[in-house]
Amino acid sequence: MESLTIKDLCFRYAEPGQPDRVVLDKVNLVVHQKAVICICGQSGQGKSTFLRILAGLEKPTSGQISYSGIQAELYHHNALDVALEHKVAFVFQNSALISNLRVFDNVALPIRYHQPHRTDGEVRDQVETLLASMMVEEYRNHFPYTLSAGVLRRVAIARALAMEPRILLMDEPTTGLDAKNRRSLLALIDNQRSLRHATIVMVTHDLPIARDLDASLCFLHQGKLSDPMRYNELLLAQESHIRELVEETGLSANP
Amino acid sequence: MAVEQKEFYSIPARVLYNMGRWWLSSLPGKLLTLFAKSMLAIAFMDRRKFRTEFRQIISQVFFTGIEAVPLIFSVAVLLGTLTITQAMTYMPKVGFGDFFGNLMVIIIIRELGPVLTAFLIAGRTGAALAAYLGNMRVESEVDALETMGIDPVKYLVMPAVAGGMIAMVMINIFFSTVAIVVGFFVAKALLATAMSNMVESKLIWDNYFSSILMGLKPMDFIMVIVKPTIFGAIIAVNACHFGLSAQNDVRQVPKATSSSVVYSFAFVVLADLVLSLAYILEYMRGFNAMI
Repeated sequence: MESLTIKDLCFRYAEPGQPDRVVLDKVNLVVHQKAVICICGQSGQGKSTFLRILAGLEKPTSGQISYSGIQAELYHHNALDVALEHKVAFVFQNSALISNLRVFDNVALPIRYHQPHRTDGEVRDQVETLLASMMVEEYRNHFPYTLSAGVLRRVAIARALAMEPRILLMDEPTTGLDAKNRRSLLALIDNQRSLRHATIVMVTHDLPIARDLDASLCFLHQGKLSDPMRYNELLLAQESHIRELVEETGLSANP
Repeated sequence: MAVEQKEFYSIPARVLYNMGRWWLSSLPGKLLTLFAKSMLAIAFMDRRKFRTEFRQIISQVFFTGIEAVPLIFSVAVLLGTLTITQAMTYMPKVGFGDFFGNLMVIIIIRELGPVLTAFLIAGRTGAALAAYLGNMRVESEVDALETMGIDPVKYLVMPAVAGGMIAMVMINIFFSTVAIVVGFFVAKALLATAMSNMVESKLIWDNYFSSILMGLKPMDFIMVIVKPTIFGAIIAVNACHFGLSAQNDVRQVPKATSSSVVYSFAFVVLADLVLSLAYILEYMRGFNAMI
């Protein structure tokens, strides 16, 4: 079943006194349920903007987006509707935890807000389960500013999972993490994906993620999105921008 | 921002659309829209979410009101003492000793109390709120709220506006009371020390208090609630608007903070002027009745 369908999606910036900047030019993409897809590309190609459009944080110029077969009304496209109606959650690159709430309250926030009928005990149980699943239960009483990047990222994922999303959008989930933290985070993401059956769309520069999560890769370049490809097809790619990225990453035929 | 294209089929529709766009893009339009949204959020508050949102409002009242008490108390004592001392030493000389109560009512209760309290709260709480929200915007925390399906107007703006309005009324009453009561005793002590009981002997609590009560008009009892409520709304809406308008650039935060304070000052004075018309109208009505 198709979890996310994007058809002819365009996005232009209107800057005063300058011609419109085309960020996305008739982008098409179909993502099936439970699939993981990585959006890659060089910096400044609009990867994060693409993800923000999917989350409803930016309004596209034209095109169609369907979440789980339900087409979004793009004129009123906004993050609140996307989150509530289409069950889309977002993990920000900087984690974006609410700075004056402790880790526990950050994760509990969407549950308390959207399920006010639930008792404090029920909320506590669910939050504890989520924190344990991301191995951050020992930080439950910490404020975000006291935590490392790796822990913040895990808490942010726990908070996104508290929304029980059908689609999980992640912006550079492994940036700034050391090898051990990266491995551990990817293992947790993979585990959660199989447990919760969520579709994952992530923006990353970290091409080997596709290998580790058995994901497909799409490359965004000059407003165009390439067709999805598997990790082992990377070295066969003919496009120069993909080859450059592959070389920068230092991938070889025998990873 | 994405480019939007709208097509209209009639001139009146296009005129209305352009007028609406102009109004919504102007600062007063944006502020009033934000205020209206926060009031609608209160009016249509989901009862089941009342506990969460009430907690937010109480924490805002605590931050705006309770935590500001030492500052408000100090300024109120100083202002009360200053006003009473000046009035007691100067007014009898020009033959206006009997209007002492009226002067205190006009200066403390009607004008300086609400306005000075508003300035203090705009500088302290308004600036802090604008900086906090600006930082939330820069750190994508506001976006994070939206992607969790939580409306920032309901979660951040409504509690700030409701809490600001409630706290301002409380602070205003506290300020006027402290300025009048504590100011009296401090001024009495000061005058006794400095002027060898000559002027101080005229400062008798019963006379002082009854002259203030005589100076109060029914409109003052209305304005003691209305003015700070409006000022509280102005300060909170300004802080929220400028804080949330800061784009993803850390340099925007200090700009948002200073804009919030400056515009709050300006709008508070403007609102005070407009509200003063109520006194002029009341005076005119009394004058006409006399004729």
